[in-house]
Amino acid sequence: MTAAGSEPGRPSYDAGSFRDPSSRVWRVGDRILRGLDDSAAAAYETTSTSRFFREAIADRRIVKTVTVDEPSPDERDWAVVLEHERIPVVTYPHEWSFSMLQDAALLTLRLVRAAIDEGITTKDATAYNVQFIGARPVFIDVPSFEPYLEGEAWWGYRQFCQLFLYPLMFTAYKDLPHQPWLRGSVDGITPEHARRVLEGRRSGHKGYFSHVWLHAKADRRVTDASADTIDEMKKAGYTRALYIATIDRLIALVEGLEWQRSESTWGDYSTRGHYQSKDLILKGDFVRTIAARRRRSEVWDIGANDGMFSRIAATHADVVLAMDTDDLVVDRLYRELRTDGTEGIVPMVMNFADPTPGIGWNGTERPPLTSRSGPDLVLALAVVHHLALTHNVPIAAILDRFSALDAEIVLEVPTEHDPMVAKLKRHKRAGTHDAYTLGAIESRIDERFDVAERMVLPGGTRMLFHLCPRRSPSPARR
Amino acid sequence: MINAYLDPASGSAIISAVAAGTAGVGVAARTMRAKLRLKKRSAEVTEGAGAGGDETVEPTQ
Repeated sequence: MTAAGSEPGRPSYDAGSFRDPSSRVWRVGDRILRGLDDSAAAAYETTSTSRFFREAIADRRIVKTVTVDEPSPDERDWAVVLEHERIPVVTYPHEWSFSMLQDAALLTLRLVRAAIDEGITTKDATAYNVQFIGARPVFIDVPSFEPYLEGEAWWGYRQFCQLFLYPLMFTAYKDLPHQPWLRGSVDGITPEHARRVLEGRRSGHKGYFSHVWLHAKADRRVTDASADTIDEMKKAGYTRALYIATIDRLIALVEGLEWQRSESTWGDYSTRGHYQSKDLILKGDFVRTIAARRRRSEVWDIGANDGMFSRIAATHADVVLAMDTDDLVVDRLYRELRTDGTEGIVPMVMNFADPTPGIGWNGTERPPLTSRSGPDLVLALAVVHHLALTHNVPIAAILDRFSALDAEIVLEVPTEHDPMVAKLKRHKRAGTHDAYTLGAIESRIDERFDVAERMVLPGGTRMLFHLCPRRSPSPARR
Repeated sequence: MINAYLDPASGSAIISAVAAGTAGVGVAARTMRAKLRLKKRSAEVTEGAGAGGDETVEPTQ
């Protein structure tokens, strides 16, 4: 949330809001402000008085927005300043599951469809225009709406394909996770790359011919400026009816995309067959007791799986980020939360051993998770052995990472005698993980944290810790 | 390298018409035909300029 060159102490423009020069976002404390220049202000005037916009604000499909009287953070004299409702935690499309991306795509399309009936279009259609409050997608880029000029095609079509449609097709048609592709490029997947991935014997998939194959061909053949093309399309008979037909057909296409996969590495974890029932009850009680001590603004549940402990923490927190590396279990959790109407938990596809980096311009346009989120409580339940034994991260490095979060940690450590630890070590070279012992882990914990509580689960092979940030360095580490 | 200077939204705009269905295919086809005509004409002008001698061409940076 900082911009290079800003004066110390003054708010600065959000590093991700530069692409549309007619509008910039900045933050004052917890307030999210946005300046509009004359042209954007005129467009906002038209949009904000339209029925679709007022209805979408009322049912929270568009972020709550009001006009305020606030100074600009720099020399720019904004015609209008807007204040938006703050999104509790910003997440990105490369951190969403299939259904999250699909719901964000449908929200975008349905807003575009409702807007065109009142002569309004969107100038773009990036997936970054949508955020999640719990399991509810919200459109946040209000200046994206502008008056429609008769005969214009939808300017957002290409971005929609690159950042919504192709990633969804990859998962629906090829069972390929979209997250690595969107994490790899802030602009998404090009038509040509989509064609290369989706072509083949089964390339008769719905939408492939026009949105992918023909789109890739057109990319190579049409070689002049888009303004000329729009004029030529008008002359050729392009009308608003065709614009509407495009959006309607895209809605039908996206609604029809399904992810067929039903099994994954962690898909059956909910049964938790490796836990004795008493262990599981006591583990839940341990988390509940700590979570209930005071209200937290933000909780991370690392390795959340079905969200059992996220739900416990959510009753005592403003927001819980339920992270898991398995996109299928995140998708299931999202769909459950969507059905429940739970708003305090945001599901997220995240591998803590390989967390989201900063992407886009300067690596700050879409910053890493730790730059946009700060937990005051972290649940790291049954993850430390995966980080240490599967990903070979040294125990000291794992604990240093947790310590750097400057949050309370609820840590579950399966000991070297735990059957799941034995299972993970079975395929490792002998001796590689001999240092993975409860004694060694405890001594590293004691070097870094104040241990408020520790408890051995009745099964005898797992231990729970409540760790608090150490405010002064321990003598052993000085 | 040439493609780096082109606006990819042009092709996308035409394809969005195709995505609208049968009526849109006609619009896209007419637009493409118009573009091909323009391209052909522009190629002829370039060839003509080349045949007329280099002195008529402004040097570019």
